[in-house]
Amino acid sequence: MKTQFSFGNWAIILLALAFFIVPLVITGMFSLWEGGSRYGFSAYQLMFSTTDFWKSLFLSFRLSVETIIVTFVLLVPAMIFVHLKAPQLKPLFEFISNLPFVIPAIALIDGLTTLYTGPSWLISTPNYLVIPYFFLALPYGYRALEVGLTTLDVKTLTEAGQSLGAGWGRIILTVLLPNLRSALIGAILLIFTTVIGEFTFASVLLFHTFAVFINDTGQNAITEAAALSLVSFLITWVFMLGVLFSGRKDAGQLKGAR
Amino acid sequence: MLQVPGVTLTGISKIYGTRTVLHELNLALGQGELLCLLGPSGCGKTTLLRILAGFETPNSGSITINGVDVTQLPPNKRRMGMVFQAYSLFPNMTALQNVCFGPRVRGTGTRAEQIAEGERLLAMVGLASHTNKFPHQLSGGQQQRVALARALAVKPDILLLDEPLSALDAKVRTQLRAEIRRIQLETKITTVFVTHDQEEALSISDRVAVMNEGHILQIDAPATIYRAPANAFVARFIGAGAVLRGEAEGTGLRFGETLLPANAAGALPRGANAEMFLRPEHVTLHGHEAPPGALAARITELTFFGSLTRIKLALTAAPEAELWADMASDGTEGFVPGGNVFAAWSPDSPRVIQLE
Repeated sequence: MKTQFSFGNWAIILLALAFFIVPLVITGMFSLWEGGSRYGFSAYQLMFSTTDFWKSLFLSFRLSVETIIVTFVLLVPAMIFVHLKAPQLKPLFEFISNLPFVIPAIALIDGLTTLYTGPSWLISTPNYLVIPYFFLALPYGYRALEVGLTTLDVKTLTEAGQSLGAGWGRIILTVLLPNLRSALIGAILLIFTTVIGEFTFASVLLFHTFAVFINDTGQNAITEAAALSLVSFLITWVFMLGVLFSGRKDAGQLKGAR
Repeated sequence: MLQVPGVTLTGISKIYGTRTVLHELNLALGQGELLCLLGPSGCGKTTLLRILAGFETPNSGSITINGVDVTQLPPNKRRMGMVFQAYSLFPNMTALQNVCFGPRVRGTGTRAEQIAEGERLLAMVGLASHTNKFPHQLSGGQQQRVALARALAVKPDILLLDEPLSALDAKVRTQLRAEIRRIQLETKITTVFVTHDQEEALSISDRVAVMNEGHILQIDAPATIYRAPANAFVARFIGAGAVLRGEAEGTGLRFGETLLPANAAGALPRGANAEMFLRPEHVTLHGHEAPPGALAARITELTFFGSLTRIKLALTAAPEAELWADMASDGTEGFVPGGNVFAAWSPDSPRVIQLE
């Protein structure tokens, strides 16, 4: 059935588009401003030629990957266990996963730095950020995985695998994880965008991540800060599109699985 | 049917909290036998099947397969194939990959042999042209056929079917149950089939075990279960029919002022409380002339089943006594609700069971 849009519908859509696009266009124009009536790409050229830009971007990328690995190693087996063996623990998991939403970042970082201490390769390097980032990303990772596990009949698939002779490792690797692909990709992308954009933890702990670099740049080079904002927005946007498409691709395949 | 015992369950009990769901069950299956576990919801039949599969651990008792005790073995170490009620195919694999999963895990044969065997099994369940389809591209009936082929691919000692047809529509269900029986006879595999559908159980089993509240009440061939139920529950649960409670009196059952003919009552002490079970196919109806021993009755309801019509009756002398009679639909002309008829049955037909 073809959807018919009325004038009112179109007006709302256009208004929403304007709300999102106008600031981007203005930021884009501002990032191209070179003073007076001159426009060009000097802010972008300057930005890309700065070593700190690449260093902070790669650091944020690295921390994203590390956070994703830690989150999956801890969260995936725990959530599969809860779904299969201890569904009564689900409310507790829900509660814990939502805590980072209600605890202010500054309180969280204060508590974590007191609680988590360790060798110098961990506490005196940016790797330490993976600990607060794990907690920061927990609600997103948990939610994405929970949706995937609920869509799948984990119990029946696991028992089917067992009845065919498979052990836990093989069932998780060859049956459950491939069918959780879109949930895992969703979790990866959400964790990635969260970590890339995180400022408070990195700033308080004095690590020079991409978000801190954007903030520092904005203090004295405002057109470059605008260019940086656009670039980071673009990176986030590309990853969000990835979430959308990965979800669509698997939706049909899982239809017959329940 | 029981010849060489393939599977033996001895004293199996299962307790959840304070609730005992299985009470020291004993069961033995012959090699190549198809046994149906039949009973109402919550009777423990699925729990028993899951204990056999290894998904549940019994609180007491033991399970042996071909003489080997498997009670403590985890499910993946038992040689059992299982088809589940819910569609259980792995969504990320094609039909052929699903079927080859078991042999691949168990390392049976080379990759080429596994594929050839998978294709043979898919052909056996009528899906030769669907090998490369994913589960979401198959209908419910086709998915269960693939699940059956997948369970057979591991060459199990015992095939476990947990209400595999309950999610399917009536026509597909009838077709598939006939195919399950054909394949089971072809492969001669010992099979346990759980169902709450008595028609399903009676039509495909070598023997039926009727369960209620964690007990096996009767294990027999389907015809015996139907014709000679061991107790009141089995008689009520299997098939349709009238259940009339009264007192034994000679070769009949005293129901109020009426003596209902039932030779089986003769075996009971006079005055013993008993229940009489009378199948609809044993009751004949007569419009005008009453044969000897017939009782006057009034038609209260007619239900059309196609070739057959089931007529509900109330005896004139004891209106609370309800009977059913099956008639060929072609011969029901003149029989209408409210009409008066005479109901008769052979005194040998009713089953009479003394109440405790």
